Order: sequence, then structure tokens, then C-alpha cells
Amino acid sequence: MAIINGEENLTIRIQNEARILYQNSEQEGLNNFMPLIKDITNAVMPYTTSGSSEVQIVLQNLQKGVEAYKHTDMIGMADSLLIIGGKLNECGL
Amino acid sequence: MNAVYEKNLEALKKRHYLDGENDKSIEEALSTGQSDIKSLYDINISSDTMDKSIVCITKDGYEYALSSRVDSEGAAEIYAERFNNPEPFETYCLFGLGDGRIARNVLKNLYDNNLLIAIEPDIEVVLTVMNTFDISDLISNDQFYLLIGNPRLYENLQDILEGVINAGTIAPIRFLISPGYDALYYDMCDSCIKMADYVMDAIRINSNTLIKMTDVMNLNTFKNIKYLVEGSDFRSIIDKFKEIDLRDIPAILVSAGPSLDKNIDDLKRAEGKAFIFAVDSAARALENHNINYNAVTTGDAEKEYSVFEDDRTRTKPLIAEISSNYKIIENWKGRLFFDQAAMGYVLQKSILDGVLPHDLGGVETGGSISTNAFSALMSLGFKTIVLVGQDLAFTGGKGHVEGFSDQESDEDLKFRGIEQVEGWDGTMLTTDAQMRYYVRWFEKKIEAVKDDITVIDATEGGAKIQGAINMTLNEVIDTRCTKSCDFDEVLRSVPNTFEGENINKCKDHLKKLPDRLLDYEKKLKKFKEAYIKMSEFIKKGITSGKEFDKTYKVVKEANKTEFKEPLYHLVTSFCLREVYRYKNIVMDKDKPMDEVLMACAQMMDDCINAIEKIIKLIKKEWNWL
Repeated sequence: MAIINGEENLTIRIQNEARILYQNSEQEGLNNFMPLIKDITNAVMPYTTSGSSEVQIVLQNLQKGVEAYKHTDMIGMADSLLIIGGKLNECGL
Repeated sequence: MNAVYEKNLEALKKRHYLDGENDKSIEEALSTGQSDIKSLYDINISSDTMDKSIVCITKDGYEYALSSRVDSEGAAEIYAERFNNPEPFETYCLFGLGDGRIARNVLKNLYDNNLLIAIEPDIEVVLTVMNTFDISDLISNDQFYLLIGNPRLYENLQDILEGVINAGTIAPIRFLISPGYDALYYDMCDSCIKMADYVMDAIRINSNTLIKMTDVMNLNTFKNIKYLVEGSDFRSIIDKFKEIDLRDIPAILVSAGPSLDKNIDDLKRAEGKAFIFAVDSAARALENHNINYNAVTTGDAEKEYSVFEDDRTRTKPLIAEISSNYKIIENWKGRLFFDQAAMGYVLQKSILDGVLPHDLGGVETGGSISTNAFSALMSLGFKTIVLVGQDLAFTGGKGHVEGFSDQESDEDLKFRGIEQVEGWDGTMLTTDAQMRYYVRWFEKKIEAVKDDITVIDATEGGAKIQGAINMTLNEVIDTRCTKSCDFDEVLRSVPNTFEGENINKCKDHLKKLPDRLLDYEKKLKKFKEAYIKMSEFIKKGITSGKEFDKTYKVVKEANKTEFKEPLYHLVTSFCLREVYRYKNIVMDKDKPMDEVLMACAQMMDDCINAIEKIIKLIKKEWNWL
């Protein structure tokens, strides 16, 4: 499984951000969230037409995460990131 | 009601939560498992990916899960990691009990002298949780308190914080918010944070007062006890007033602000149709204008006797603290009623424990006699409270009403008046920091009781008090003083605290106080030796063995004396400065243990010296026994 430096940082960022959100650190969590969502979206964009079910789950959870962000649902945001992080690992992204 | 609910309910009953719940609808909901109070939101149970139940709340079509849908237990552990470095004696307020996972994990990290107060805004959430999750371990934990959202939530929070954070334990309150709760219950969360901040400020201000006044308060208490034995208490008035329907009868609280000069004569029209309650400083002005007020109150241990020089004043019913100026008490001709404020707590817990037929009647000390008086009127059950003379600013360049014996000079006012505040009529007025604090006190109190009590500001001047309805006193009298009630007669009929053979029982109990103190002194000497010995063990690196275990057992007992020994409160009131110094050392995590133990030993010595002072005072002041 090839892990490019950029994506490795992404996995660590996802884990750290999920932790911050589960801890309800609102200011830090909210400030970091959307830039992270943007970077995840950019990372998976080339694979959206691959037909991979994992990529589909990532895309669904990106949407859920954004919805949770709109409602300041810290647990919702954290959960979506955790699922995204798991799926990115599974499909070797 | 299923087996899980019953187990949780049993735990609530054992902790006396239901007895202590002052909201009948909440008490009934907990007892029956069903609530008439409609939740703002839809509440349901779902599960995470590990099949563990979680609580979900739907607000405006969006569903918030109060725990992680992926790993509810894991997420709660992560949350608690943020608070895994407690300081001794800290109190934690957790806004949002949810399913109890966060509370349970936070508690695991705490020392045995930390407390966790969980605030659950929604009774429906509590009932759903009690039906689904076994939280009896939490409820049974002595370090855990639960507050449920109701109209008196902020008052209850204030009471509990003031009860657990006493003047000798000024450690911070840490405010935690469970995820989702600030989004779902923003206003309540914000108000609870403000209440916690306010309590910390209040404790700091009150503790400074206590240190300054401790000697005179102790002397006054010991001199005044005689008058409680022969007199009455505030609780007895509260019980008597329960016989009256107060819904349509207002209480008028008369304070001594300069605006009282404007409308003092209007009070004549309210006689017999309102309970006219004067603070000490307003008494002389009322006598000068021949107003028949029903009762007067005092509290300050150093209140100047001159405010009561008028003979007519000293025939009125007086509601006082046991630590009020003894010169006022011993010269009083009218009935005396003592309340629980200030040294009243020491009287109840240490001196008269076991013989008092009931508590003395709580009055919240907001820091001034007016705030005390307001609390007293709330306790009496009035649904409309009218403020008169409550300027809380230097209206018209004056500090008090005409006739006040200690009127401030222009220089005094110039020195004190350093703040600006919005006036009753929108103009800006000069005030000082202390009066600003009292304005804030009234505003918070009015907000806390707004569903139950109407507060009208009929000062017709002074600082604006948010939440109070502004009316002229004449308007109040025309519209609200429509029913008669002979409060003078009601107060005459209030029974004494001790009657018949209980008077002698009380006196016998007081006679035994020196012996009780000497017995406690022996324990304190034993504790002191144990602390010194333990300190030496620690220095030598000894942490086991027969002698160590024996000493440790005594040290453990000594550490609990504050909670187990009734005389502790009396003894420490005679060495308050030392208590503060000692607590500062104990609360410093960086102090080496042997140093902390030596400080504890010194504290025992200070308590022993205090006992000797108390016994001397008893010999001097209690000849009447």
C-alpha cells in the first residue's frame, strides 16, 4: 500500500481532529474542520469514478461531516472523520 | 418502569434526591418515570457500531447523537482525557449528563476531594436514560451531584456551589460541556456558566469580609445566643406565613437609598396591605415619617447602634443574624428572630446540634443587608416583591436617604464613585464597584425566579435593575395593594424556638459545650502527632509496616474531621486565617507531601489554640446559664 507523505499527514490530521472534536474543543475543532474536509475531498477526487465502495463511503461521510458542521454537531463531525480515516486506510489512499 | 429504572430510582432515593428536589413536577416525574413537562425536542435511543445504546435528540429535523455512533465508550474516554489533571478540591460542573458515560470517565480521574455536578437540562432525557442505562453507580457516588433543568435551576446551582465551595476552599470551578449540549441548550448553558463565574466572585468577596470580621462575629455570636434561647427564629416566621395566601399581597422592601426621600410618604397608603420590610439603615427615616413598617432586619456584625437609637424602632420585630452587633440585640425591646446566615450555620451544626427543633431558616447573604432582605422575602413566599429606596448608585449626589446617621460626605462620594451605571430613567449615574456587584446580584436573582416571583422596582431613581418592572410606588399601591393583612398580628403569633422543657434541654446542652470541646481537643492532639509521624515516615521513604499502617489509619481519620466532626465548624471559625493558609498549602500540588503533613499538624495546633479561646469566651459570656 503506497502512502505518500501528503496522505500520511492526512491520516494523522484526521485522527487528531477527531480527538479534538470528541473532546468538544469547539474553537479549535471548528477552525480546523473545513480545511481538513477540503483536503480530504481533493485527495479522493481522482478516485470518485473508480466504482470503489470505500470511496463512496468516504464521499457520503464527507457530506455528513459538512452537515454536522452546519449544526455544530461535534460528535457528528468526529464520527464522520473517524469513518473517513478508516476507509482511506482500507483503500490505500 | 423497568428493572433498570427501578435500580436507578432506588439509588436516587438513597441519596435523598427526591426529598431534596424542590420542583414537585420533577420529583413526580422521577418517582413515576413519566413527565408532564413536554421536552423541546424528540428523544430516542439508537446504537453505535458496537451495538451499545446511545441517546439521540432531534432538533429542527436534525438528529444529534449525544454519544459517538461509532464507539460511544471510546469517545467518552477521549473526552475525559482532556480533564485528567485535576487540582485538589476543584469542583467540576458538567453541562449535559447524557447517558452518563462522560461523567463516569471524568470521575475516574478525580481525587477524592473533587466533586462533579452534572446538569441535565431536560427531564425527558433523564427519564429515557434511567430507563435504558444503569447509572446507579454514578448516582450512588458521593462525589457526584445531579441537577435537573427546572425554573429554579440557576438558584439550585448557586446553592450547591456555595455549599460545596466554602470560604476556606477557594479552588476553581471547572465548567465542562458534553458534546452537543451547547448546540441544543445554548441559553441554559450560557446562564449556568455565568452563574458559576458569579458564585466564584461572590465567595471571594464574602471570604474577605469573613476574615476581616471573624473576631467580632464570634464575640457577637456568643453574646447573642442567650437571646435565641429566649426568642425565636426565621424558620418559625416562614412556617407561620405558609398559613397566609400571599399571592395577592406584595412585600415592600425598603432600603435606604437617596431616592427614598421622594416617595417615603407614599408608603403610608400601603400600611396593612403589604408586608413593609425595612433594612436597618432605613428605620430612622421611616420613624421620622411615621410609617408603620412591619419588621426590620440587620446583619452586619459592626452595624452602628445609632441606626436603632429611636425607641420606636427597637420595639419592632427584628430579623437578625446570630452574629449581628450584640449592642443592638441586647437593647432590643421587640421580638427577636434569628436566621441561618453567617454564623447561623456554626450555631446549627456545632453549638446547638441535637437540640434545635428545626433549622433557623435560610437567608442567602448576597453581601448586603438589602440582598439578604430580598432573599428573606423570597423564603417567606411572597410572589410580588417591590423595591423602594434601592438606588445602588449615588442618585442626586447622595449616598443615603435623609436622616441616615452615617451619611457620606462629598469627599467620601468623590472617592468611592468611580463607576458609571445606567439609571432608572436612562441617564448615566455614578456608582461604586460594590454597588455594581449588588445590581448584578439582583439581576441574576430576578432572572432565576422570573417564573415564580414578580419584582417591581419602585425606587423611582437609582440604577436600572434589568428584569425588574419599573413603576412608581403610587402605581404599585393602586394596583397591587388591594388586600388587607395584619402582619403585625401574624408576627406576634409566631412561636419561640424553644418552649417549655426544651428551654432547659437547650441550656443543659450549652453547659456541656466546654467538655465537648475538650474531648475534641484530645482527638486533635492525637491527629497532630500522627501527621508529624507520617511526615517523618515520608521523609525517610517508609511507606509500609505496622507502625506506618497504624499512623496512616489515624491520618485518614484526621483528614475526614472536617466532614465528620460537628465541632469543626465552630473551632475553625476561631482560626479562620490559619485555615485559609493551611488550605493554600494543601491545594498546592507541587508542595512535597512531608511539608503538607507538617502544615496539617500546624493546623491541628491552631485548632487546639482556638478551643482554648472558645472556652475562655464561654466562661466570660455564659454566666446566664
